[in-house]
Parts: sequence; structure tokens; C-alpha cells
Amino acid sequence: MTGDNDERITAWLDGQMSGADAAAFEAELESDEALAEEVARLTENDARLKAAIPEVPVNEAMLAKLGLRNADVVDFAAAKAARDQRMRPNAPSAMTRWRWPAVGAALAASLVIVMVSKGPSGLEGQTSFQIAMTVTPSGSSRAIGDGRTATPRLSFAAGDGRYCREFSLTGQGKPQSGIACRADARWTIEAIVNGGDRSPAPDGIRTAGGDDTTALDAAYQRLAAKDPISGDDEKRLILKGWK
Amino acid sequence: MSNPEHTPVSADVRNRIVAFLPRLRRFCVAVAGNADAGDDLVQSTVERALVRIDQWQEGTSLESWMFRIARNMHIDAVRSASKRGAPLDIDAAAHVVGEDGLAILEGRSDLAAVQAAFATLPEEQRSLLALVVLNGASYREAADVLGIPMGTVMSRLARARRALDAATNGQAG
Repeated sequence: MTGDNDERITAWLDGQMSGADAAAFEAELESDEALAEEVARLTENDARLKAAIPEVPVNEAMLAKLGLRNADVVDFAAAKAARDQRMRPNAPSAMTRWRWPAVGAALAASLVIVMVSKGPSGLEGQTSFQIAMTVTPSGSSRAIGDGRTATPRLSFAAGDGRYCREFSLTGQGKPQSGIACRADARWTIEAIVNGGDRSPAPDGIRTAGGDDTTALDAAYQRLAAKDPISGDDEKRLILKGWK
Repeated sequence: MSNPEHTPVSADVRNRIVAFLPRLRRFCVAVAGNADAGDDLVQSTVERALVRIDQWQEGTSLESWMFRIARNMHIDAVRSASKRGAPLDIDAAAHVVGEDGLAILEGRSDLAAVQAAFATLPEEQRSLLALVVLNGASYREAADVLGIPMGTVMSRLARARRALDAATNGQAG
């Protein structure tokens, strides 16, 4: 536990390593259990800190108090919507047809929270899971070290600007599906359910999935998910570290 | 055209400040120790930034400049009030967390523990964690805001994480 190692861990956690250094560090993580545990614990500390002091939107009252109410917030939203539209002119039609269904979001959202709290303990603190979410293209799989395999299914932007990925977990234990969103260079699990295979059928209509699928739908609602990101755009995001 | 009370601010700058406010607020809450003190710090920071906007050099980061103002104002306030180690107001912080799903997920006891641990850190470590971990600043940006070399950013962050870990998980350094 040398000071140098602490600095390497910290640089890796913050995404401040060069590609080569990061790759070397990640190779070490795969073989050095103690290091991986430490990284996992520090990752979890970061996640807790972020949850303890979350980013809170600023309301009109605060803008008024700050004398900034005339700022054109509405135009921001409109500009962002226009930009989003421009950014996916080539999205495959099957994907754009796949809109997030409206469900009893408020009710179901509470269900999601309960289910998340019962989710696999420390999954998002697992470095290999973080890596899998960061570097694996949708449709490809990556082992996450505990006998399970993570397979991102698709990526999308949430209403708050974060990038999110739906993924499945297979291997040891029951298959699961979930959604993780990225902020501050970490993936945070927003929802995780048992089963819930919600891959779209070829005609763009999802197969029925029961309550589990409803819970994921609720998460999509809560996140104000935009349409799935096209494969090319996703590739670009992976290369740029989701920035 | 110099009226220091009402320096004209372009719509572009104003919009940038508005877009930046949630991140500034998060930083201020973290550094000041609770939601109310954080919002007070946001207000004094924005007021000073608007009055002194002509001191900001276009082409440099407006956000870094405002983080710097916030941090300096906090340090000045703490110095002038001779406050030291003001305890974190858990209730106020919990109020800020509100019904945020993450807070519910994490469980109040975990949150309280990490808040208490964070509050025990020295200001320089809290500012750095607030910039890098909470706000996703790069080491270069953090170095710029805090006026320290990049190498110091990394070693100080490593120490801060180690201290936070010790205080949260009871690790012996």
C-alpha cells in the first residue's frame, strides 16, 4: 500500500491515466485481488460521497434570488433538443421506432428502488463491471470476474444529460437486467431486475416481460431516456471515454 | 462604461453561469458543509462574479474562475469568523438530498457516515474531492482552481481518499 500505488489508484479512478497506463493498471486489477478490492472499496466511497452530496437542480426562485432569472433557460432546452436531433440523423429506423413505453411511472419507480436495494451487492463497486460498461460495445460480452458476464444491450442519453446503458448479467445465479448511468466517470446502477430480457423483436415490438420489465420501463421513464444511440455514435463514445 | 455595481453581462455569459449553477452549488454545499451555508456561498459567489465579470478573461474557463471565487470566499468567511471544524449539518444535507433516488438507495446511515467522514477532512482535501469526485473536474482544472501543481493534485487526492476511507470504513491508514 505504497503512496505511489495510492496515486495510481486515484489517477485511474479519476480517468486521468494515459491509455497505456490505464491498460497496464487494469491488467494488474485482473490478477491482483487485494488491489482490486481496494479499488472497489474506494470506488464505493466515491459513489457514497456523490450520493451524500448530489447535484441539485436550480429552481426559478434561486435564479431570481441570484438575479439570473432573465437567462434564457428555455432556449437552452430548445437548443439541446435541436442538437440531440441533429446528432442522430442516421439512427436505424428500428431503433427510433422503439420508444420507451409510458407506464405508471411513479408507482413503478418505487418498485425499482426496492429492487435496486436488493440488487447484487457492490456490483457497481466492482471494477470489472465499471470497465465492462465503459469499453464493451452493445451486443458484446465481457466477463466481470465473479463468474458472471455483462452484456450491454444498448446505450442512450438520459434527460439530465448522462449516458446510460442497459445491460444483462448472465452466468452464475439468475440472469438479470439493469440500467447503469455514467456521471463523474463512474457507472451508477439505476435499476436492476431479475430476468427482464427486453430485446426488441424484429418488428420493433417488445415481447411481454411481466413485472420485471415494467420496472425497467419505469427507470427509463424516470431517466427521461432519449432514443437509443446508434452503433457508430456509441463507438465514438467508447473511444472518447463517454465524454 | 464602468459601473462596478452593474457591469453589463452578456446573455451568453449569463447563460453559461446558469448552466453552471448546479455544479457550483454542489461544490459550495460540499465546501461549506451544509445546504444553507452552501446556498449562501453560491449567492455571494455569483454576486461577486457578476460585479467583477470584467476580471474574467474570455477564452479562459469561466467555471474555474467561479470555483476559485467560491473557494476564496469560503476561506475568507471561515477565517474572519474564526470558525474551525464546523460540524456538518446532517439534517440540512439530508434536506438537499431530498427524495433523490440515490439517497434512498444508499440508505441514510451510509450517507450520514460519509457526510461525517467528509466533514472531518481539511478544507484543501474537501475542495479537491468536491472538484474532482463530485464535479468531474480534470486534474488540470483542479490545479488551476486551487493554484497548485498537477502532481500535488494527485498526491493530495490520494491522501484525501485514504483519509475518507479511514474515517468511513475504519481502515487504519
